[in-house]
Amino acid sequence: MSSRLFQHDITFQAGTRTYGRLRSIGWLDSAARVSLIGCVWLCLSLVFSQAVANRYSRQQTPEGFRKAIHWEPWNPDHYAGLARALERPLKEGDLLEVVRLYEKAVQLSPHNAIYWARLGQAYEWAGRLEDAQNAHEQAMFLSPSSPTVNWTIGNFYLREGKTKLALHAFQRTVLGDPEMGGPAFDLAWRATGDGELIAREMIPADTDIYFEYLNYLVGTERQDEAEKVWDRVVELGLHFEPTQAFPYLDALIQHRRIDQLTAAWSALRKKNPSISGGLHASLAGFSTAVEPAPEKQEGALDANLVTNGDFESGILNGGLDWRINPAPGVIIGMDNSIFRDGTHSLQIRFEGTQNLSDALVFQYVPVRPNTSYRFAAFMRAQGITTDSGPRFQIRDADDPAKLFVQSGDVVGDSTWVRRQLDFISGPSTRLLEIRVVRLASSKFDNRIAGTAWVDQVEMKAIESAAATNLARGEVHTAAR
Amino acid sequence: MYTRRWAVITLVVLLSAAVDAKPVPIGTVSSCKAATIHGTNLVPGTTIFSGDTIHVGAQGNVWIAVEGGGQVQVPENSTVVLTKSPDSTRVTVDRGQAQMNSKGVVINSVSLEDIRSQVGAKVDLDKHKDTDRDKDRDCEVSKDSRRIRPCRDDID
Repeated sequence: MSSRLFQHDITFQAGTRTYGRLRSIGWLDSAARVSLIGCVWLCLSLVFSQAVANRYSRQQTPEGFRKAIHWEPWNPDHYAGLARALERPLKEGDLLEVVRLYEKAVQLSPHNAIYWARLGQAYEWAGRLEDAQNAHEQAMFLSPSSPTVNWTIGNFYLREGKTKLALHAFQRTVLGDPEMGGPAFDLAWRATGDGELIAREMIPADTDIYFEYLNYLVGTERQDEAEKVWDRVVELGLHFEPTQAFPYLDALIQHRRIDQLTAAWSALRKKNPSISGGLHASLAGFSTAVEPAPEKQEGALDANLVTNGDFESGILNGGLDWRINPAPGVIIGMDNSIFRDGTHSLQIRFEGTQNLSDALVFQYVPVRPNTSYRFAAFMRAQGITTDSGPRFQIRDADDPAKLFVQSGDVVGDSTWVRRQLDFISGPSTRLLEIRVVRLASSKFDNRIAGTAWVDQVEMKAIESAAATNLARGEVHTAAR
Repeated sequence: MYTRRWAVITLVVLLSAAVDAKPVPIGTVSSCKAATIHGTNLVPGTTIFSGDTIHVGAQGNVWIAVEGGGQVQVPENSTVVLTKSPDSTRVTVDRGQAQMNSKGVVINSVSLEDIRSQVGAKVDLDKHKDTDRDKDRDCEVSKDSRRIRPCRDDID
């Protein structure tokens, strides 16, 4: 009996405990449900307010940003956006609000360097220069390589007269964003006007930036400074592609700085041994790589002055290499199936659609004044129509009236024929153009078709005695 | 004797001052689009110095925050030169128009005399209506700026 009572007692106690446990579970369940609903509601309201705020901020108006702040007051972007919107135009009464908004933005997002940089700008407009400097330096501390931050602080330093610090900041700007090169170089020049200072303090030993700066100097007609920068590029031994130097070389050609052109080309060839021919050492006193032995010519003093005259290298289309003059109705390229020497020649294919009357291919060649030269080249033709085929021309690059010689043309079908022109450069001639041209035909059937090949183009200085019978600019030999 | 000595000293002082003369900052570009300065693309934050010429192309716009408060707006198809005088910033409108919202800025033109320079004034010069000439001006820029790209609002 007593044992049954005891058993009942135990059962009662267990039931009470189970009931209590069930009650607790019920409360917990309710609490969990409420919490879940609360969380879902909170998330939904956050998403909703964010969506509404974003919608307003996308308007990019002060009113829009104000509404965005109302819906999402914890987002620093809206404060910065409102400040930015108030800056344009910045009314006199708005400056304090702009400062306050950026201060709020950096308070909410103290690790955002851009906000600090803009706060620094706003402080400066408000005349709080010390605060401005602190804000800019905080921005620099947070993001030392950011182009925007460096650009902003660089400009600040410039206005404060701290030129070297400004140039160092611009260097970091350009390193971070090469597209900022133009604005940064221009600003540095407007602020200092000192090319040496800029080159020393601002231009890093980076090939692309050096050439960007070189192109800027060439574009702004600062030729003397460009030459100094080029010398520095050579001195530093930077690796670069020949095409990167072409704007500078073109500027030297344009300004007829022939000695500098010759020196620059020699330096370029030293760095790129694949550029063949065109030994201009004797013109500027530069020593260059050893050339492949040219054909022996009677009275020849120098090696071949023509670059890539055998067309064994690709056409660079710039500098002192060949340049193709694009024109409709003609296709110009290298040919490795028909050649006179080596493994390549230049192929000129006329499509029969145009009465061409211009240079097809040309090359600048620096020369000495009052010097005798012999030009020789081979040309081959296949099915060249009309009465005017391709021919060679040599003329003074400045003024063709000072020197102009041309060979006979090649028409119909022919094997390799040699064309030779002997001439004496004029007293002021420093730069020649060697051209392959086709003169316009005056006949009814004047649209040229067929293919011509050019190979083994050479030009060498010869002894005066070998050309005593030459009149200046006279065509000496143009045999078919 | 003394007169000559003083004249020499004055000349030396003037010459050294001229040699040391640094460009005077006028303000900062706070916002810009399709604009160039001396042929180079303008970007926000650029410092403008006295004597700088700003050219704004079609669909462009520039806001310049000038020192001492206030802003100058240069709208599209306009060319202005900004100079600093002792008491104000002078905006010379060579082409198009310019607006400002500060008493410290004076806007004038190259040739027109009836220029208003009070706060909120707007100067509109339609004297250069020759669009061909405008096109030529657009071409008179450096190689760098020939790679036409819009003036970015931010450089990052």
